[in-house]
Amino acid sequence: MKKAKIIGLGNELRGDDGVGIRAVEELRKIGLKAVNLLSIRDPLSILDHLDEDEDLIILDAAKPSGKPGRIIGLKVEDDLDVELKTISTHSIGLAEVIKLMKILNKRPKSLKILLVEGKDFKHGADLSPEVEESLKKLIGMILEELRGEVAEDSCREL
Amino acid sequence: MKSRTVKIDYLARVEGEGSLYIKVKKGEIIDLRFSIFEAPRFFEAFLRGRSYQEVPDITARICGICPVAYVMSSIYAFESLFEIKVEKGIRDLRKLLYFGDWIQSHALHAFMLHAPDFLGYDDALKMAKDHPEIVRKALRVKRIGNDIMSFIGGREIHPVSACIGGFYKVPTKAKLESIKGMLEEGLKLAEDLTRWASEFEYPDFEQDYEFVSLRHPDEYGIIEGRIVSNKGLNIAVNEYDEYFEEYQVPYSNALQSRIKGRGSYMVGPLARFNLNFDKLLPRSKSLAEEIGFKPPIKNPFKSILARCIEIAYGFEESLRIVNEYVEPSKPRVEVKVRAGTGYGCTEAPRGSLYHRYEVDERGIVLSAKIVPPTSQNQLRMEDDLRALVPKILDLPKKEFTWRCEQAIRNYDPCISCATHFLKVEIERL
Repeated sequence: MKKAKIIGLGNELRGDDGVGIRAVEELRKIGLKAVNLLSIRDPLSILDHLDEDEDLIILDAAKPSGKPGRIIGLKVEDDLDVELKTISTHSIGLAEVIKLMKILNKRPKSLKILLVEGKDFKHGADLSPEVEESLKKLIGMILEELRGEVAEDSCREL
Repeated sequence: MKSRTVKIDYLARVEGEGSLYIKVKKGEIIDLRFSIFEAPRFFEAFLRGRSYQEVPDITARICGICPVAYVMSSIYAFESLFEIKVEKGIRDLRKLLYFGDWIQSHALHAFMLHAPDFLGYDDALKMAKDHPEIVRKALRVKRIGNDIMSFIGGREIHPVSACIGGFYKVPTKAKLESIKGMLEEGLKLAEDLTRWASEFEYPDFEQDYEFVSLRHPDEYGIIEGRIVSNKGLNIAVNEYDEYFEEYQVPYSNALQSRIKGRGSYMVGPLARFNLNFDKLLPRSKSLAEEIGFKPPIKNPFKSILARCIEIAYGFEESLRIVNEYVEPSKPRVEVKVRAGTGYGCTEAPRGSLYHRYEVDERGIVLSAKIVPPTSQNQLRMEDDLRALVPKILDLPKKEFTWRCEQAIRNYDPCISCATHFLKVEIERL
């Protein structure tokens, strides 16, 4: 297994926004060795956890576009340019943090972002059934990714 | 005379969702509304029927930026009702936890959200391209603040270690001393960043504010003291409701606050600085003096400097706490529950946070009242705009709008807390 870090991003108190946090909880239960698992609610804190020897996977929710539960994989190239827009009540979101990585030259060995399209972001709501269902698939994708059994180009929109 | 209406649908660089609408006809403001439209969350309602023990953990969830403030105001409310006195070590650890929250919250707002305003950047990313070293320093300060919170609070965002009566677990002297190095590093970085911010060009704008904050005879007001103002207010925390009132305005999901019979007032770093300057410790006080920042400061745009000084003070006082720390004889004292009403007020990063709880003889919450600092500052933000708008009407639309937004950002409003988010609407006729 590769030396890797997985960061789940989001707010578990706002329905599907918590999918990244939930995924990390599930991965903890599996007891992955040599994988650093982190739950982060403030995207800026990602900058404190970058290691140039580590492959980084960030898990987060994507805004609704009519396909709840859809998993979107983004492989971010070395230039760290990625088409991503933050939808957040906080001013500095994941998209801004990736730009800051580039400006401040703080970067991991590689970066992949896995997003799950959400449906319901209400305060206090659980994950929607569609996102709950995709969670298992997401975990499967991460495990395969960590085993290095998946070719780089398989990280694509599914 | 100019006529214009300005609509800013989503105010940038503030926490949460809110808007600003200003209508000016022939040089006179005919409508001005700062609206908060984030959905209300009904915390006060769902606290009813819960045990007092759950209140600090539930209220911590009101805010991801300043959870410690909610924990502390609720703890002090119940401790005043149950007549609990804690020993110095516990009190100091509470302050240390609180400084962690102040430092990370102030560093985010001052350097990432507010500083770009003074340097003409749209956002922190553009500023970071030209000032990467400043942003690195600011992020390091923020990190240290978060690390203090994790160290004392058990985790970074919503601390779980503090409870009514003390802490679930307290650190040993040796363990606490392990953070000394990062506090010293933080203090030096805060001094550098303060000097940097002191060179900004500040708009020429002053108001005759009523500043309100806690004041304590022996220290900078933060967790205990009387509620005082520069205009003669000097009351105990349990007299709050006699002197302050909340009321609904139709365009906002957050209640506004005023001092009965007087009107708007300001809470937050600038108010605290003006009312507690003499209580700063030597290094943060001489830093303020070095940059010529002495009370009374009536320019709200300079609130960024008050935040900078408070970051330095937070590190300096934290170092004192670590040096003088004696491990408490026990982590928490026994709680004897009784029926009645408890009042608590502590200084959140954005200003005074008032809590009031009524409980029965089993400690079950019968009623709860929470007045966050952003609610208290709402009317004052509108008053600042009423005074500012006529002075800047001749500015081109883009600059005019920006300056209005900046006037709101002076207050670092946390709309999520007050509801309660910002959207600015400026229409020109």
